[in-house]
Amino acid sequence: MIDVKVSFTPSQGVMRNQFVAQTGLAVTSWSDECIGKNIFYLYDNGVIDEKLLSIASLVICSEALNDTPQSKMLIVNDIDYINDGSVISVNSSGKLRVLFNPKSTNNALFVTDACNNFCVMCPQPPKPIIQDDAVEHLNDVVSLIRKQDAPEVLGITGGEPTTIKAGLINVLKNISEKFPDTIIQLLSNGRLFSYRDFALEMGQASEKMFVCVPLFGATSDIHDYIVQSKGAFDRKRLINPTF
Amino acid sequence: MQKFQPISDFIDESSYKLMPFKMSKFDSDYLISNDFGEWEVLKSDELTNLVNKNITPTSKLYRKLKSKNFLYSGNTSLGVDILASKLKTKKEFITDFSKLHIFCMTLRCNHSCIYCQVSRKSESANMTHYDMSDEVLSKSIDIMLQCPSDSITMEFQGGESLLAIEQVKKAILLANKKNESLNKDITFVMCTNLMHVTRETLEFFKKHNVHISTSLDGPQFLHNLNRATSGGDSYSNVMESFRLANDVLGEGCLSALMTTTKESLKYPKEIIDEYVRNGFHNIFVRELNPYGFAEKAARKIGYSTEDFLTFYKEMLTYIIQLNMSGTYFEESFAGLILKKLLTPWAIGFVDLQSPTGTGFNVTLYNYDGKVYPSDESRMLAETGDDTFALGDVRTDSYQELFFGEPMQLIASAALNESMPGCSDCAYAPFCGSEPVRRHQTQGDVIGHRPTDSYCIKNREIIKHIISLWTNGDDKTKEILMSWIRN
Repeated sequence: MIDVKVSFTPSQGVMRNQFVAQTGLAVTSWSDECIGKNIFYLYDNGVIDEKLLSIASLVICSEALNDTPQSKMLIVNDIDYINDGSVISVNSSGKLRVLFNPKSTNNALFVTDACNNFCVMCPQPPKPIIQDDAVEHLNDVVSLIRKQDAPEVLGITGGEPTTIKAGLINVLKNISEKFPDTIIQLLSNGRLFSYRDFALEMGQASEKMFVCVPLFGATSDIHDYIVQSKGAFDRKRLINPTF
Repeated sequence: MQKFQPISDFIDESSYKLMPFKMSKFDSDYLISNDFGEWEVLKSDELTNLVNKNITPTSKLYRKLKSKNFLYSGNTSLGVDILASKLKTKKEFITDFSKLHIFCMTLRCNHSCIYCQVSRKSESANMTHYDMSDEVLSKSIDIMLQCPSDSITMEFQGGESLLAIEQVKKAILLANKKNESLNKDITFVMCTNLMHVTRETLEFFKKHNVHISTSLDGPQFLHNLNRATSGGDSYSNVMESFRLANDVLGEGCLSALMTTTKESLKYPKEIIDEYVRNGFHNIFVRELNPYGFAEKAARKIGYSTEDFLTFYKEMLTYIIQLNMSGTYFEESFAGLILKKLLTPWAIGFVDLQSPTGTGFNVTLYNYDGKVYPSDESRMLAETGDDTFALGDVRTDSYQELFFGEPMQLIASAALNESMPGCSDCAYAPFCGSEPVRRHQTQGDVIGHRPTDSYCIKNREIIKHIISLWTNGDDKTKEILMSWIRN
């Protein structure tokens, strides 16, 4: 899964907020895949790869490395969570997140906290704001994933992923272009698919996508109550003929 | 924190409107159904309440009927798209015209089954008269490949198709060759009694992925009684061939059909046991069809529809018991009805379709060049009635064959949705239309339902299966569900 929080200890004397917020690809050795990407050197003992060290914007390691500026070094206790090929984000307040793990069969892109439903049972109530840079961020993650780590299945979740509308189509196209064999599993409440243009465009964005849509009742009253939105059921029912 | 709206805010207004539906008696209850294949069994007072619009929006019944499109409420103009989609899915079989192409390779046969007195010639009859010639074969394949479907079944039958095995092999190779540029997906099926099949022939089937459909009518005494052969013991011959086929092609390579005669009616359990003993996991219980055997034979082997229904129900009961005790076994006809009742999907079985499968989903190429819209039409022609002969592959074009008068006649009675006795029958969405059979048994393609054995039989079987389903416990339902094939 995405969003594995790894506890880490900033190297001695470094304040948590001294890290530059960034997303990068963690690798253990230099290869052509590093070119043009923000690279984190994943170091876990052994001989130092000097070429990689010179281009890496961060070193992720379990023990402090000599001669490396402390602001470039993340000392991580649970380094086993991070693999060669993992895509990781670090924020300035010192949180490290694994956004893609090449060894997992269950990767998903997290699109947004926003949602147009308000389900009574939701453990992750929607936030009203959509990040402006959501599309850029998602495309960044996709571009960081190495070709050799092409996932068999890639989930897309939220929040409600379709709230970023055309942006989602843009991301889907990027995924299909880079990883034509990857099956995309989109978790969506399906409401936006009642707009024919959107449904058609979504259908064309990827040949390998299936949309997982929850239905909470066989009639509108039950479903609409659970998602707290009148008309949600009828809009969902329209997916089939148009998509 | 935003407060949740209560469920009462989402309930339908109490006025609802009815969608078109059909109703038929179902013992003391009513079966209601609509063209989208949805159905429900209602008590008499529930039906009255439905029609009088007295069902309350919070009741279970209301929600059930609404979800099945028997009623709607408010401004659901959006529903039409959904209904169109449902209908399209149910009628999906009609797209791409004929998919089953039957090649009657020879009229010669080494059996003289009691239910097949007319449409056969003896094994030693003149091959040049009763086997398909190279010219007819080649032109028949051309017509088959002109049909629009990308996925077709080429089925060989006879007579006994093995007696013309060299021609069958030629047909498979030729079809593959002609298909090279078209790249259609062709499934080959060999209908054969398998008598005297050779290892070499079975190896050929294996190489070309030919499926085998054979016949087994029950235990030895019954099988031999129904299926007489000049050598005497058909059963022993067939068993030997089954063993050889399993040896070459592997266990489970065969599927078998049984035909019910008057004598069969006494042995429902024994027939099933025979199938289980031979490693089969399914049976297709077939009623004797009314085509192509003499009146004299009808008296000897025939029976009433009621007798068949009793027999069929006994078989189903026994098969369900078998499954309960851990032997997986299915009855294929029930499986087809269940698929219609319980899934949104269409079935490919041509005898239960509306528009009829006759001519629209099947084409038969006879050994003599004649083309028919079904095997039944061919048998009818063998008895002297060529009403449904579509033409000849040697002289007629695709257009002449498939847009001529016989096809127009079939089309005129193809839709049970518009047929008297069917149009308002709640069983119709799960049934089919059989113009050729009605022409044969009732004198015209439309027919008269109260005396129509096809109607009586199907209605009762559908009703019985609905009863098994609605009254069945979880285990029974699980068994019935497992019979639904893709």
